[in-house]
Amino acid sequence: MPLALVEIGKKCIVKSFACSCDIRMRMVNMGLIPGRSVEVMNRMNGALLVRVGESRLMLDCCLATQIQVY
Amino acid sequence: MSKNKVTVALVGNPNSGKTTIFNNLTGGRQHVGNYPGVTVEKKEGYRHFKGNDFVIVDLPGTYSLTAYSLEEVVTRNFIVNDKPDMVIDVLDTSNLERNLYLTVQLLELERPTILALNMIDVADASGLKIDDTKLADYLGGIPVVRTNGVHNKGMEALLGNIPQSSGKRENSKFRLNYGIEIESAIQKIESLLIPIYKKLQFPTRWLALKLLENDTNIIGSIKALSNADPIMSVCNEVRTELVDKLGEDVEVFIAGQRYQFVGKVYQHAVDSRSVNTVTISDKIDKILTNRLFGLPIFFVLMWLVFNLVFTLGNVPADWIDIGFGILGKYLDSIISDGPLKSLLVDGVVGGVGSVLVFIPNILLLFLAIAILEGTGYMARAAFIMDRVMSRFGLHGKSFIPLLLGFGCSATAMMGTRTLENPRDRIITMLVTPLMSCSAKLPVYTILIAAFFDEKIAGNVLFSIYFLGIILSLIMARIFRSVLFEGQSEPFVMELPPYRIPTLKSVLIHMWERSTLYLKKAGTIILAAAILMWFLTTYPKDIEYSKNYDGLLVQAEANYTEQVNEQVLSKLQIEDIGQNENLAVLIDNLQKIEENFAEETKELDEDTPEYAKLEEEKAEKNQQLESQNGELYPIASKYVELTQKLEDEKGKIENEKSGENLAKSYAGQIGKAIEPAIIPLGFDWRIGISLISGVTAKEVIISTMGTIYSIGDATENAHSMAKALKSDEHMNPLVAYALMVFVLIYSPCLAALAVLKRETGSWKWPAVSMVYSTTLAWIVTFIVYHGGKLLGFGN
Repeated sequence: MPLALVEIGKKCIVKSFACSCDIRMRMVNMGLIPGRSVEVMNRMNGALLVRVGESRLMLDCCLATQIQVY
Repeated sequence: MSKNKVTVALVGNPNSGKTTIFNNLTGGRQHVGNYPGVTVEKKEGYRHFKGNDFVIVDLPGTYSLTAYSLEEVVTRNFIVNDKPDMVIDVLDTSNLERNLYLTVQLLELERPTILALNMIDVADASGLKIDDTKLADYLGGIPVVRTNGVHNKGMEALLGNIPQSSGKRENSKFRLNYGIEIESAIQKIESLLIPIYKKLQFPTRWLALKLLENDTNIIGSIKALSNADPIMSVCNEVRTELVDKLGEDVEVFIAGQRYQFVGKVYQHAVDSRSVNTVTISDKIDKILTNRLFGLPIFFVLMWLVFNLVFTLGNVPADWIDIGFGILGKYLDSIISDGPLKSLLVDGVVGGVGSVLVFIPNILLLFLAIAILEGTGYMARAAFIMDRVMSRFGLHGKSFIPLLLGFGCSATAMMGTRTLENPRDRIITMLVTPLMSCSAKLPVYTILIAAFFDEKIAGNVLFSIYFLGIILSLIMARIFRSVLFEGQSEPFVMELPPYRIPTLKSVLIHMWERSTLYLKKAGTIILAAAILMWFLTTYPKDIEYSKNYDGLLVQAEANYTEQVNEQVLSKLQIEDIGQNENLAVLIDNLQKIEENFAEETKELDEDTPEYAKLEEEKAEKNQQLESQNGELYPIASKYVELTQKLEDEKGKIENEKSGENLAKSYAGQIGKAIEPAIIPLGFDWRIGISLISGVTAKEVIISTMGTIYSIGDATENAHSMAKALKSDEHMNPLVAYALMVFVLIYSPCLAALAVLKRETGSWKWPAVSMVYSTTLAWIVTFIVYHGGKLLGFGN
C-alpha cells in the first residue's frame, strides 16, 4: 500500500518507488531505500513526517502516495 | 620553505555542524564568494597553526556525491579538481549511519581524509558508544577525531592530525566491494578508461562507478572527449545487462550496497542499545507541528519576526535617515553652489543613504533567519505551510519571504535564500514585490486622505493590500505553469533535530549576509541613484516660461515699498532698529506666529484642537495689543507683510523647481510616455512620479510635491492633498487607479539589484520589471474603465 495511507505511529518497510528518477535518488541519498524500515510520525494536510533511522524526513503528499510500503 | 600553505576542505551533511567548525577554525576571518558560474556559495577562511598557514574551504552541505543537486557536483569537483591537501569529513555523530553514507562516497574520491565525529556530546548524552579504532579500521585506517563544535572542542586535534609534510598525507585507500556483478562491470569499464583518465582528473574506479550509476555530469564530460563513443556504447551495454541481472536500477542497487556496508560498520563499531528512540526533538515536534497548535504557533512566530525586522528595525533606520539628512545639510553649507554640490548632496549622499537605511532591517532579518534555521524551526515552518503554499505553486518556506514583503521587497528577496530549489526562489522573488511594501504606504495614505472619506479609508487601504496578496498567489501559479512548465516536483526534506544555536554562529551568519548585501546591491543602487539624480536635474540650461529671478526681485521691491509706506513712514523712521519698542514687539509677534505654525503642523483646520490653538494665539496677540497701544497695528502690519513676502518667494521657488523637473530628462520621459498612461487616467505629471518611484517607492510623493510645486511634500501632507484635490485631472477613481498601479508596477531599484545579485543574471530583474509593469497596466486599465462604467469617474 502507499505510504500515504499508513497510520500515525505505525512502522512499515519501503517496497518501491513510482516516482521520477531525480527525486527517487534524492530520497535514496537521504536514507529512504527499498528494504528500509520507516515510521510515520505526523501528518499535516497530507504532508508526512517520517522517521528513517535517526533522520526525520518530511515528504509532501504527492511523494507519500508514490512510495509503496508493506 | 618554513611556511606551508595547507588547503583543507570541510565536507559533510547539512546540519552536521560543519559551519560551526569552520567558524571555530577560522575565527570568523573568512571570505564569502560564489563558485564560478553557479550561485552556490563558497566560503574560505584562514588559520595559522604550528607554523603552517591553513586555507579552509567550507563546501556546501550535501547528503551524497551523485549529480542530483548543484551542491553535490560543486563538492566533488572541488575535491577532485582543486585537490585540497586534506579533506575533513564532518559527521553528525548522533545520526552516524546516514552520515557515513556520504563518508563512503567521499573516500572513493581517493583524497587524504580525516573523520570528525562532531556533536559527540549529543551522541554521548543519548547513550551512543562508539569504538573509534574499529570505525577507522573499517574505513581504511583514516584518522578519527572527536569534536564538539558548539563548545569549540577538538579543533586543535583536527589540525594536528594533518601531517606537516605533503608526502605524509596519504590518499584514502578505502575500497568498497559492491559484489561480483558490479565489480566485474567496473573492471570492464575501467580498462577502457585508462587511456583517457588523465584528462578527467577523477580516479578511474570512481569514474567507472559513476558511469554505471548513469551520472549525467560525468557522462557529459566523457562525451566531450574525442573517441568517447566506444566507451559509452560498452557502458550502455553493461548497464542494460546489469539491470536484467539485478532486477532494479543500477544506481539504486549501488546505493543499497553502500547502505548495507554502512549498516555493517554501524553494527560493529557502535553500541546503540541504550539509545532512546523517542528524542527530545520528537517531543517538541509533537507540539510545534501539532495539527491544532502548529499553525497558530507558526503565525505568532511570524508576527514576532515581522515586528522584530520592521518595527524594531525602523528605529535605527530612522536614525540613519536623520544622520544622512544632517550630513547633507552640512555638505550643503560647506560646498559652494554648483553641479558638484548637487551631485554630492542629492546624488551621492541621497543614494548611499537610501542603501544604508536598510541595514538595520537587513541585519535583523538575517538574525531572525539565523535563529529560525539554527534552531531547526525553519524546516517545520515549511512542513506546516506546505499544503497551502503548494496549491499556488510555491514552497512551504516561501511564506516567510512573502510575509517580509509587506515590509520591504529587497529584504524579502534576500530571505528567499532559505529555499534550496532555484525555481522556487525565482518564483518567490518574482511575486514578493506584489506584497505591498511599507514604502508604498505613504503614497496610499496621501491619496486616500485627499480623495476618500475617512469612514471608508480603512477599507480602501485594505482592498489594495488584499489585491496584492491575491495577485501574488495568482502570478505564482502562472509562473509555475508557464516558466517552469511540468517541473512542479514533489519534494523531500530533512527536519534537523532542534538545537540551540551558538551566539557566535548566529552573529557570523548575520554579518556575512548583510555585508554581502552592502557590497553587491549597494554599488548598483548607488549607480542608479546617481543616474536618477542626473535625469531629474539635467539639462540645466532650460528656457523658463517665466522670468523667475525677475519675479523674485519684483516681490522684494514691492515689499520694501509697502514697508516704507505702511510702517516706517508712519513712525518717521528709516529702519526698524531705530524704534526699539517696535523691534521687540515685532519679534514677539513673529515668535507667536512661529509657535502656532509649529503646533498646528499636523492638524486639520476644521478640528477642535486647531480652533483652540487659534484662540490661544488670538489671546496672546490681544495681550500684546493692550500693552502696546498704537504701536501694535503697525507692528502687526509689518509681520503680515514679511509673511506675505516669504510665501510669495516660496511659491516662486517651487514653481521654478517644478518647471525644472518638468523640463528635465525625467520630465521629457514622463511626457513621452504620457500616451501610454492616458488610458489609465494618468497625465505626464503622474508619469514622472512613477518613473522616479522606481528608485524607491516613497520618492513618488516627493516628486509629486515638486511637480505640484509645494516644496517638501512629506512635511506638507495637507498641502499635498489639497493640491491634488484642486487638480481637475484627479478624482477618486484616478487616485484609486494610481494606487493600484503603484502597488503592482516595477519593483524599486534596491529590489531589482538584489534580484540581479541573487539570480546572477540581468534576465530576472528584466523579467520582473516588464511583467509587473505590464500587469500593472492591465489591472489598472480594468479598474479605471470598470470604475468609469460603474459611474465612479466623476
